[in-house]
Amino acid sequence: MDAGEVLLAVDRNLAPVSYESYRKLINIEPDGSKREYVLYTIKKGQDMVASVFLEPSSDKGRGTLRLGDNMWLHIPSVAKPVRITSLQSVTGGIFNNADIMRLDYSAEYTPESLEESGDAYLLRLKAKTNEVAYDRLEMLVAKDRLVPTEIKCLAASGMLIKTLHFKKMTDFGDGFVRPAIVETDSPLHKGYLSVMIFARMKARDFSDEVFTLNYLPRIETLRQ
Amino acid sequence: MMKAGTWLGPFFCLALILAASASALAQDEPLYDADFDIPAMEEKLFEFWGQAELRMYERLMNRNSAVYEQRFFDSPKDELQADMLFQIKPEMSLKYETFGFYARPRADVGWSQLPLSAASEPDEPSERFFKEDKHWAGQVMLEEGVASWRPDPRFTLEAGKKVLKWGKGYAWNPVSFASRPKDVDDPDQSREGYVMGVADAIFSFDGPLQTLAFTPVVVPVWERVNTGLATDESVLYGSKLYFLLADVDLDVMAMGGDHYDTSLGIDFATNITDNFAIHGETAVRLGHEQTVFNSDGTSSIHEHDAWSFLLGARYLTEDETTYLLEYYHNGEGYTASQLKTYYDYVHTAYDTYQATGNAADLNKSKKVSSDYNRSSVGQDYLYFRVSQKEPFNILYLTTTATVIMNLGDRSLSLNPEASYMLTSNFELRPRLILPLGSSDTEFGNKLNAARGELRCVYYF
Repeated sequence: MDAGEVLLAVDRNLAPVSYESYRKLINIEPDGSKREYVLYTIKKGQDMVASVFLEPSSDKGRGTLRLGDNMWLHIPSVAKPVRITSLQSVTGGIFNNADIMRLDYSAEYTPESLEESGDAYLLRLKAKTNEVAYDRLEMLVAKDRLVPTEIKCLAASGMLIKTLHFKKMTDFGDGFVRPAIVETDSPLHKGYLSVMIFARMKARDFSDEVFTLNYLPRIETLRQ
Repeated sequence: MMKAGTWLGPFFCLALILAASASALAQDEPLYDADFDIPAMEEKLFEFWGQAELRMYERLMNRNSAVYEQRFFDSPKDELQADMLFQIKPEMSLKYETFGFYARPRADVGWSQLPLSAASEPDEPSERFFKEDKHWAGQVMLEEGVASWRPDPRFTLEAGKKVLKWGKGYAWNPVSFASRPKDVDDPDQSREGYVMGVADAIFSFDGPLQTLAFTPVVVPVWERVNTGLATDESVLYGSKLYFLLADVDLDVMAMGGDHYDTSLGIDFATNITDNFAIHGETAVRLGHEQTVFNSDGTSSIHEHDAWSFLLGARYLTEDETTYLLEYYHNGEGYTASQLKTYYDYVHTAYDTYQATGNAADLNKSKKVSSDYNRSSVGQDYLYFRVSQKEPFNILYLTTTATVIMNLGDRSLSLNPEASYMLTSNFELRPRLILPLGSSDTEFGNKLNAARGELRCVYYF
């Protein structure tokens, strides 16, 4: 397999082309205290993603829409959706909007090289545009299942921004198996840990109209 | 009664802080649990959540201001005054197949050391529910209550009391024809809606035009419903056309009806770079009748097409400092010289009262107080806000400083504030509002020379 084929396989093994899922985000501070957030997320194709916070109640109804490089935030009862950027953090902690509203890796990155390292591939990726949150990615991909086990996110200077650790291979049904846990640490936030746990990820088709600014305040009504 | 009101607030707030801190510290468990319950899946038909908020104010009165002189000329007040407001805002939603219902009622109980009268228009929207010189006030209202029908993701029909969020501006929205104005000191505060019927049709395309949405609105004005939107009973018809065209958000909106000034507007927003966004909006209100106060104490009506516009930019740095700048031209506002005429008249009338005991001139000025004492009464404003997320690496803390300047008279309001999520459901928001300006300027004539406040918000 070449680098491009591995990258496409990684994308498809991490998520169906169109899907819905629930995620819990956990921010753990050095003293052990933590905050938890639960989101409902829908995605279609390579560049349409929408999310809404279900918990805690202080964030309930807060929705985010991403169409390619465009990203909007809707805070209920407050104002109309405002344009935001992938650099911002909606929850505090290590996760930023780019992590939570991630597009397919192949939509944002070009594979530069592929090396074999024991039972894994080392895939080096370069951002297609300056709008992408991390300039380079170094992705360790398990050869057997073609899912990442670790991704290092690097700035243009080569500085390590954060590392994602993929854990707990889980069967989400219909033979779809992927890591249910993504742990994130960062040398910029020593002692902090952010965790993303996936649940009920399943293929589901949506009409394009639900990925619009007008529909953003109603994303939660899509839950079945 | 005064002492009870003064001590009850801090005591209640302290108790909430201690309870929230205790729950945050009571964590002796594994790093995290990989399993989690999907919220409300079993009871998805009905959901209930909301917030309770306690606000405590301490105000330093500006006893040389026009508002103070007009309101308290015959009963001078102490320089320091305390206020308190308890507000509870539950939210509930009901969903059944293609039908839904959402409601957000609100209950307020307020105590003010200062007897705040409706006889003269207050300069803070939060004071409006104090009536008849009482220290205590309370109200229950429905901010929003909407029934909806969504037969298809492309189409929604809604009826009820709803907040229509038209416009792209943060502090002001001249194109928001059927919404109550924002409190410029607190633009993020939720507002009360108007009763209306709204449809929403969405169309998606491939190509430069990605989205087209049409939102027609019908707003009835009769008896006690939607009063203030039109000058008499009427039905208002409006619509908004939204385009996402070549990565630019564009809206075109219009509203008209009997006893209502036909209004037209356009807004836009787009990103220039990933971390730099611009937005703007413009509106014209045809045949707007403006009450103008004259230096002899009379007032006249000036009819004109009021043209307003707003231009804004938002910039985000790598370390999450957000700069927001907005320029607002208010076509329905008063020039600096018109405001000066009014303020000079009130100051002179107050001097006359003190010398002679005759309040006739002050009473003349009160007749236009609803026009001249309101917020954003001037014509040209600059709004500048700097917000820093997690300063000094303190997680869940956001510090903000805001400057609101009336460019006509160069007076301004300086508002430093902070927001700290003590736990995931308990927030502390201390804030200071400092109006600065001379005695013939807008912010130099605010009731308060300074106002400190602490909000304790509990989310449930």
